[in-house]
Amino acid sequence: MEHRVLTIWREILKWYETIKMGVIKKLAYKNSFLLMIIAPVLVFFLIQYNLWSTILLEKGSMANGYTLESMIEYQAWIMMVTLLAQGYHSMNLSHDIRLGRISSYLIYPFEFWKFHTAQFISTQIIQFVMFLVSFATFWGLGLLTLRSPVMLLKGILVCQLVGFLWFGISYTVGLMAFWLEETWVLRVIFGTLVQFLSGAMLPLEFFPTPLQEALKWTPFPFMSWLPAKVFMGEATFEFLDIGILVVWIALLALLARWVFKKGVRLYSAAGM
Amino acid sequence: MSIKHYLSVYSEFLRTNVAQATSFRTHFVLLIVVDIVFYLATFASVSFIYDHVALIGDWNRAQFMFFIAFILAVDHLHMTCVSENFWSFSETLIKGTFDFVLLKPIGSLFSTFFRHIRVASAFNFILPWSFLLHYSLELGFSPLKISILPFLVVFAVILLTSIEILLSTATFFLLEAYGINFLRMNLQRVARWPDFIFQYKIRKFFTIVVPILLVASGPVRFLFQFRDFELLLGALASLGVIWVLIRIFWSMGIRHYESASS
Repeated sequence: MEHRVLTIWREILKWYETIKMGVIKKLAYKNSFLLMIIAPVLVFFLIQYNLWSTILLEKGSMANGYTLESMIEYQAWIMMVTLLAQGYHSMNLSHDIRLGRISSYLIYPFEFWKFHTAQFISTQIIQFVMFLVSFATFWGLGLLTLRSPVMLLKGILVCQLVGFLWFGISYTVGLMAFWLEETWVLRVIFGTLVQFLSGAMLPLEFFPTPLQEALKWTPFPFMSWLPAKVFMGEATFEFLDIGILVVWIALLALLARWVFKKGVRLYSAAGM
Repeated sequence: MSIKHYLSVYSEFLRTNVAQATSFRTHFVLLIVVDIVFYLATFASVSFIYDHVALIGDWNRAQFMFFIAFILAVDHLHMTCVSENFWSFSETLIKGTFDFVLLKPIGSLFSTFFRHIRVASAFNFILPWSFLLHYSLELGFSPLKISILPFLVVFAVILLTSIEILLSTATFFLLEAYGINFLRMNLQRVARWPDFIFQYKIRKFFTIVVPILLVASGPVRFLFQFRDFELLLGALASLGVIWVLIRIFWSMGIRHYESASS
């Protein structure tokens, strides 16, 4: 029993140290972090804000049920969702594989997937702080309305789950480096599709009805549209939604495990 | 050194890039796919908005779609001819391999920003150019307007590339691999929308201080109405200023470069 407790404690310590190291490492390159994570989100919001201000210029005018105020609020929540749920992980992962650096992970007492999950959590911690700062700023500017603390907590919960879903996809894409020379192309394809099909670019209500219906069977609406709507108090986030997200995450975890097993057999440790 | 010499070096660059690109076939195909996905998502986004509104600013669907086709044609040429070089430039500075660029008996700007060509992207010209032609005809462009269209696209690519080169010179001083490139990509995002969607102060900033909005808005407004030439003129003037600044900052950057590997 005592041995078991000690093993669990050691495992917790490994996770804690790896997450701490991840936070320190990311904050060491503050300019890069700001330009890679924060700037794109801000520029995206700036464009959306200006675009919709032009479209819904006249006070009281509406497009597909959205007034200027509700559209700006939707776009502001999309920005919050992006900050909370979307990170860049597979870039380092594919470099590790391509440059033969995963050899060290294969002999470390902390598995490859654990290391990258801990890195992902460290990014989530920093992004959560960025979310809090941005939320306070936008709330102060009157661009966001806080419906209720419960809605806010529900929104944060769904974003954390989406973060894991996003990480699962990025991780699996990164593992394709076992077969491909470059994986950034897959990452860009995925990013472009998510931005378009998740309702980040424009709300899903603007899509043609058949496409809206088809998207319901995919995880895309969960990645931007649903979290934004939960924050806005226009959609509920029930156990069924949690269940669907958890099933997608579990499926991705199984797929990633299978891909890693297959890939590592091909691995030849370049440069060793 | 003569233009002929530079052209012969560029043809060698092209030859080696073709050989390299065709060695990795899956990557080659994926590069084609990524561009197509991006083009279709961009066109569809604007088209879906126009399903619900009649005008954006003063522009109708055909005018806005022409603008999008124009900027995607610019993006296509930019992707094919120069985009990869910006990423490799920051890497060469950090790894210290920029020494080899300086040792070559050819202009360092040329061998830095024209060395890599994304051959796969070249095959994607059909999509943006068919949209561009389609909307040119829908807007009733005269043969004269259609014939100057390719020149304006090339001019826009030159302006965009020049702004990006100027921005990239900051890498000499900041020594930072990805941040500047992400900033560059964000400027491209701004350039993908017409100037009138931006509010006054932002529009002025991106027209005068960082003239990224002139890249597409200048030529497109000129094509819509020849008398609407102020922005195009502004783009030409900006290009002159940017080239002078590039010359100054590039020389300063080279003097500042410490060569990480030596």
